[in-house]
Amino acid sequence: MKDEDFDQLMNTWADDASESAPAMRPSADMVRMVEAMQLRQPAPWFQVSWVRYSTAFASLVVIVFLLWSNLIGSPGQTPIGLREGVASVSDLVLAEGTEVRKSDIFEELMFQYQKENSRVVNGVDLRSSLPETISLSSGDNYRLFLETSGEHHVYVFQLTSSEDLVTIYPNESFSDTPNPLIQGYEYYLPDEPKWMYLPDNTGLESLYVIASKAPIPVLDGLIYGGEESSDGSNRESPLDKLMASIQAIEDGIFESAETWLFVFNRED
Amino acid sequence: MSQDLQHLPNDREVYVCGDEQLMEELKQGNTGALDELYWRYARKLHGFCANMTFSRSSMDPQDLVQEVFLRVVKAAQSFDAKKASFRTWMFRIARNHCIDAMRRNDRIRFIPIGKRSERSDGELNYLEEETVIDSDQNVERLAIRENVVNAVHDCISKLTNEDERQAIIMYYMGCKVYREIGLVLGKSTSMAKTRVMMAQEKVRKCLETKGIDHFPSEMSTDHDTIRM
Repeated sequence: MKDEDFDQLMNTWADDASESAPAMRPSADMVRMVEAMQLRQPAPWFQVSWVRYSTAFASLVVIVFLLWSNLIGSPGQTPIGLREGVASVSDLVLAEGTEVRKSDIFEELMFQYQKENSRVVNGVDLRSSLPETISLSSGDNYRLFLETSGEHHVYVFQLTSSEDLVTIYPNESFSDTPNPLIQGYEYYLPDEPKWMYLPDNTGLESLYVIASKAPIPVLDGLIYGGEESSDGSNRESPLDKLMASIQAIEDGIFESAETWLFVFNRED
Repeated sequence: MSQDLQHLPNDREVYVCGDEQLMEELKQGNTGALDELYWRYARKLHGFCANMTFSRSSMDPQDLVQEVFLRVVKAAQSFDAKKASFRTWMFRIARNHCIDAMRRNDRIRFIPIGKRSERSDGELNYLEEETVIDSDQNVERLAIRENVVNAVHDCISKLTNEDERQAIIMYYMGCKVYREIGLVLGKSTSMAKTRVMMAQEKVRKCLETKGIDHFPSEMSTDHDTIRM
């Protein structure tokens, strides 16, 4: 097929996708938000400071609210199990990814797993993309291996297939090491010789790794908020709050911060 | 407020400035700038989100577009034209939002855009398009066009490499700059280009297996199909 014909076919598809869209207008809430920006315009000389102060104030408000709402469940209720495994680093098999996404924060950022009854440790560089999703069963173990390029604050959350949001780090149940992580040291999550495993539900598991040169108050608030209130009426879910935090980081509200996502499958 | 307004015959006020200037206007509270950005990008985003989410029946692209724009408005003050163009920034927000939406979606269903389908429980798929056919409409040309659109959509959905799929969707949905695609995907420019080209090759071969090896001459006419 000629390139020109192919492009015309693709453009026909793209035009159809756009043309089939209904007419849309900004919602009333959106318009009110923009109008409110007009009312809040500070003097030009104050604008830079305003961004910083408002970010700090907003973070403080979120921390207070999250502490009050008891966001994340206690480690004792986690659906993620811990057990000792064989840490045979000399038998590490690193999966070949197709691309390494550069990180200013991590020298190493690896998902390691060990299949049941195997001494081989398999590794996946989170900074590369794999053609297939890793699948683990209840008898397999997994952990994270990290090494930072400097002194950095790291946060690790796992969203399980049963929609439980679990703090992996910092969490004393998984690691005795506090934030920040220091350059020149190799860190395993959980601490050696423990490994994580998933005893129950099957489905997709998501590991969120967030790192920053400075502490992220919103995430500290998520972690140290205590047990989630049993009354969930009219409350934004923990996942929504975490997603909002990650989005804020990716939108550049928190400088020198990175987010990484690794998804793997828990199968029978 | 910007003075860069022109009035079109249909009385829609048009900003003749760039997207980045519109964002500056929006930051100042100019709701007209928001309307203009909606006019420019809502439909493109609709197609982008619909294809990103494989047209899953539980995810309305219209809702996704509204949610993306809501995030754009909320994060408007953090937008910096020196770091990235508005289009790159917005598509990055859209891509991440669509991925999050898919992550929270329990069921995966493929429903071609423009098709009406009925689930076993009787609920109709919302992806219904209404077509107004004028007196000069060529029914056969419509059928050929629909066949082409469905074939391309099917071939793209069969791309197993998620980066390739997202790259080709972005390329043809109005972001034909490899550097921008790379920024949205978090890849280098060269890798973005590689992804697009590999996806193009796979889609091309897929189309050829479906018997589509050229652009149908019947579709090369001056008649317009009015879609609502």
